[in-house]
Amino acid sequence: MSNRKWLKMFILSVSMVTVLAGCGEAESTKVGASANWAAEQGLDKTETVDELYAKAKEEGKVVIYSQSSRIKDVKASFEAEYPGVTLEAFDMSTNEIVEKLVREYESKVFNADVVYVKDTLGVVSSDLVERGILHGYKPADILETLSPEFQDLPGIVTNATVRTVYYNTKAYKETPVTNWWQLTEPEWKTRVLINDPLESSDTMELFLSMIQHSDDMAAAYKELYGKDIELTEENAGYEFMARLLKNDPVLVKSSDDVVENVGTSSQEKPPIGIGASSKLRNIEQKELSISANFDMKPKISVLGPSYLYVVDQAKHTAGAKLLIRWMMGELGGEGEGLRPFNVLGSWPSNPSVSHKNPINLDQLNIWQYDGKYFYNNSIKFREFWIKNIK
Amino acid sequence: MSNTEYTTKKQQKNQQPKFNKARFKNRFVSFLTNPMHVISMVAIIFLIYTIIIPLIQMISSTVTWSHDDVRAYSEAVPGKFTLHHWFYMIAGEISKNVFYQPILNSVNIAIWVSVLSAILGGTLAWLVTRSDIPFKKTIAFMAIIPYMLPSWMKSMAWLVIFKNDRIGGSKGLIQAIFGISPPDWLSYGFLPIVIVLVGHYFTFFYLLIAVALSSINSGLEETADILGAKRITILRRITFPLVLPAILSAFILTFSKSMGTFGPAAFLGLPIKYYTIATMLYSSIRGRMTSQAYILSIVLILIAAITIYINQRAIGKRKGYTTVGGKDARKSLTPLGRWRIPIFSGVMFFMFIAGIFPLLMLFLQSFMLKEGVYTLNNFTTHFWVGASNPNIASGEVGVLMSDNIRMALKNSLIVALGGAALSAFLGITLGYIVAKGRKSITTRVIEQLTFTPYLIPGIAFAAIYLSIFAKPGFLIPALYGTLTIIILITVVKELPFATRSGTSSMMQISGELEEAAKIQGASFFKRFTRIMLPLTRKGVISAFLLGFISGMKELDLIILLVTPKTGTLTTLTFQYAESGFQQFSNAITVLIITIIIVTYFIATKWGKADLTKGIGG
Repeated sequence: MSNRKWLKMFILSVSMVTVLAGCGEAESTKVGASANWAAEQGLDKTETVDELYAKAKEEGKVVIYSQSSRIKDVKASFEAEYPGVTLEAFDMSTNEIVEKLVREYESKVFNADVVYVKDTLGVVSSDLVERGILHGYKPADILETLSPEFQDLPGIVTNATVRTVYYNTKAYKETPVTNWWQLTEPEWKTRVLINDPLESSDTMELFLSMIQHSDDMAAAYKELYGKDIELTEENAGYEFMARLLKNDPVLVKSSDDVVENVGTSSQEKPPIGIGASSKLRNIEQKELSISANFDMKPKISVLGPSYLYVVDQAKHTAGAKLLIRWMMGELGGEGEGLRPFNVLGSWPSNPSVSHKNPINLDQLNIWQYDGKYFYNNSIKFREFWIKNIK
Repeated sequence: MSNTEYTTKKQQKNQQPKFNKARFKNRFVSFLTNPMHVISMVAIIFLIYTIIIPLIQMISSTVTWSHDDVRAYSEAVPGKFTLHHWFYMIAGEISKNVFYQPILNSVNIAIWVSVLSAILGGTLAWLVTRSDIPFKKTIAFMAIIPYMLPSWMKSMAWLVIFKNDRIGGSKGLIQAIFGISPPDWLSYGFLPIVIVLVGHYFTFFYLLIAVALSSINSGLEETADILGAKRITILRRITFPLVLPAILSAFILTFSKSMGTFGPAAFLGLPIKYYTIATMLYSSIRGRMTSQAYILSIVLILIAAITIYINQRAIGKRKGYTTVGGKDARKSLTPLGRWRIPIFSGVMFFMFIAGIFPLLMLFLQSFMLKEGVYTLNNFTTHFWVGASNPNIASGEVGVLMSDNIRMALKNSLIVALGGAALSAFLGITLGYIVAKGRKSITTRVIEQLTFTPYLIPGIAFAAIYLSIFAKPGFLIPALYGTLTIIILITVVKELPFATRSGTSSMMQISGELEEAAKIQGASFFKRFTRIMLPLTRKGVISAFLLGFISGMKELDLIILLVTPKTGTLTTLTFQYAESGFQQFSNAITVLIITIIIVTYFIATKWGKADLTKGIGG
């Protein structure tokens, strides 16, 4: 193509752009409509299981987008308990679920009834719920049994996981690090595996919490070294990020990689790694020598709750409600529906439900989840991280 | 000449305006009734719809505030014009790491991959066409296998051997045997990415140069020989200029493709934070920073466009040599002498590590309960035919037993067959237009447009398609959630190859044939279906085959577009790999490759297909 033609195309595209740029949409009216829909469907009501089952049988099926592959166990138990209601379960990453929900909402294709997701840097609560793409369904009888921190959230929480520091039990009898600042020391240069925060919103949430609670980080520094930290960055949280990156941590694609590479037995000088606590359940199956440290200074992690929401304009609302109750483990939380998620490294939101972890959730030294903060600061963090790579 | 025309001509002198109108109408009618024009118009509308509009969308979103910008920039108003994204990328605080360094890395990779692939592919092509190396057919087939394997798979194979203790975990083969940990530059980053990609793209050079070489009458070289030219002079002055167009053609394909490639860069770059345009782009999309992602893809398109421009200048007028004469095309083969067997072994060894070895590794690993444990009791058929066992991979059933996989298989076949058939048909039609109307502007526009999708990275292309076709518009219903959109994007992405292939097939057919039929009164449709199509059958089947192969192994392009019901085999492998069920992922990949190889055999045996024709050699 000759220069002139390129120029022409460029001018053409710029003019088209200006035209297209003029198109915007009034979102406020949509949100109102979606709130009305939620009220019509009785998402604020608490119905009995029998009522819901009767209606769900007429609807015939429920569709769920789930962040966990274990949803197929839920499918088995749900369909056994409620014959006549089929559960169509789709397993996708949280990012994909968010992307799909937004696109489907915009194109008015309403595939899903229920979603099982994490907040992914506050996008779900601050964006999808605000825009009316998702609705909370919080039956009062179940909600009141949950821990206080899960009472006032936009959706109902089934369980929560944390990030944790993994170490190899063949090489270390007990955890080699107890304070986050140790990871910036020469001893751990190139020996910290991190599930890349640019790919994993869970990792980014942990780092953002350190920044949000930079006073805690500064205090932990003083506790470890006996002196105040000298800042070259905005605050102690960012300072930690910068120093950690200077120590050349190794980024990997998933928490599975973290667990596998830390825990393989045959290593002489294994690294430590930051990954999802829920990967603990893979240890036995993969025969890894690995353990998770649940006590780091100042805090081990931020709490990462998993939510259930009803999708706007869902076609099977009774089924959706029934499924949400089922996945909450019904009243008392001991039902089959929660069992696939009540595993090692994961804490049910109902504190009275028995779990498999060595300590209870309220004993865990953690920061509380602040979706709004994450939503507003994730871009800044991303810039900071990229700027400091290498 | 008709009467009406005569009268209008007469009127011309008296009534200028009226004449113009009539003449205009006449021209308009004749324009519309000429099938060439109609097809051209339809083609251009199609291309505008599937290529230009997406491109404009892409550019437009780089200069508008998006909904996601609001959370970081208080001044952002969604939908309003801004140059912020461009300034931010080009002259911002993080430009070096998010923009310049990745671009530099990508260009660096692309140059090295192209040069090394050219040397490797060229040598191989020469050996197969011009020397007396044994088992040529076997070599020719094996040279295509690496192209059938997804390139991320070869990256995994690289790590199995060269992994060092930087990322921990089980030892790489080198470390396990020799006890030395390979240095980082050998294990990750630039070097392995280049090597893996060369192992993938040397096929382009091999195929195209082999065709060019085999069509040269060796009489040319022999004449020079008789006239006393030295061997090196012959190579430099005769052989090389003749295959130059093929080399440059392969260069464009390899350069643009390796600039935008994602898999190897993601697997081998991340451990040492080595980013390329493609990986940065992916991370931007993941971080919901689509404007940044689109800026990166536009840069990618620009760089590739500049390369093509330079290339075209370089070839200049020497674009086509007529090398196929009517006379004897006997070829004398260069004897390799005592080097014959060593060279043959070398070639076989290379083929083995580039194609067979990764495939075997994959196959083997799909039978292993735990990765890297080579004891007999670790082997199992569970991942293929096993029933649900809650202790293994959360109770996933074997791939041959799973309904999910059967559905994905069906989708994959529909997408690959449908996409390949459509793109082969479109390619031959567009090729006809390009070949017959070589000088007109329309055909040049078509030629340029059809090449554009090649330059757009798959993942950016998909993101754009998602936003365009998610909503109903321009008389088209919302396609998101259907297989149609996946087929559509596969077709458009395959157009560059299909059109080139169609053009070169059509070019070979002399105009006389069609003219003869025209004189006999055959309609356009009849000429096209009875003469042109049968004569280009080989080219069509080859374009189909190439489309089928890429359709079967396509991942980047469709990962964003699939919905749970439209998942394909490749998206399943990705999902399984993400959930840490590597063996399932391996088993499905083996399944994909088997389907590709079987189809390849059928197409080459009964359809006389030839991949080189598919690439447009």
